[in-house]
Amino acid sequence: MHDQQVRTPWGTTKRGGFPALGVAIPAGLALAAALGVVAAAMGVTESNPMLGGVVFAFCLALPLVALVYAIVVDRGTIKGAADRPEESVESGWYDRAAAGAFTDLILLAGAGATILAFIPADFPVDLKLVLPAVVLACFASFGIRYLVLQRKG
Amino acid sequence: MRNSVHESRQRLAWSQQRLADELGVSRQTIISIERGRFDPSLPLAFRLAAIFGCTIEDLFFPGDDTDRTVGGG
Repeated sequence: MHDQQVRTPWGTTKRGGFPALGVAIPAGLALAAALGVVAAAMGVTESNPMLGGVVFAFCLALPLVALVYAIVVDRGTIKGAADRPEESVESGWYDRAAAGAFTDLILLAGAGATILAFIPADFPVDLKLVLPAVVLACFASFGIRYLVLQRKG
Repeated sequence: MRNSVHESRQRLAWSQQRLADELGVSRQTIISIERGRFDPSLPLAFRLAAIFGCTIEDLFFPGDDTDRTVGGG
């Protein structure tokens, strides 16, 4: 156990021992702003590049803060975190939910490919919509499966 | 597998949280083991047996194995 370490609700960084959120928030916001500038410069939203950049930055801010936090935090410094998460029941739920979601993904991709085979060639299928939909379906499958396992105890 | 973790923990007068802290796992893990919903990994089973001062065979015995989570680690 990490008895000697000071545990806080959000933990500290792996290197330096800084508050993890204190690093994740500015770094995540800076990354989001940078990607917003990239989106504006590339003219992703043709009519109003500045507005498009702001929207990009706004939408990416929270996921990027969460991503940076997940990368930098030392989970052993988070209050209430188990020392051996891989031996906890939650790890088993995660594995089962992930395996089930993978099966669902194969079924979904297979069914989608079959349906697309019958769609005329000139019918527009936008990958920018299809891929996020697949990701969302995976999230939903995993989340529902995990919650069901959690409820069963 | 069925088990006698609940009875063994009661003998020590430990809470589920204390046992979880000693084992380095979540309290939910103890709850699931005691309900027979989770089969712990072999290292975890050994640590449980060591804490209760018995053998694994004293703690775990064959039983209904349907729809349960199996521990990794």
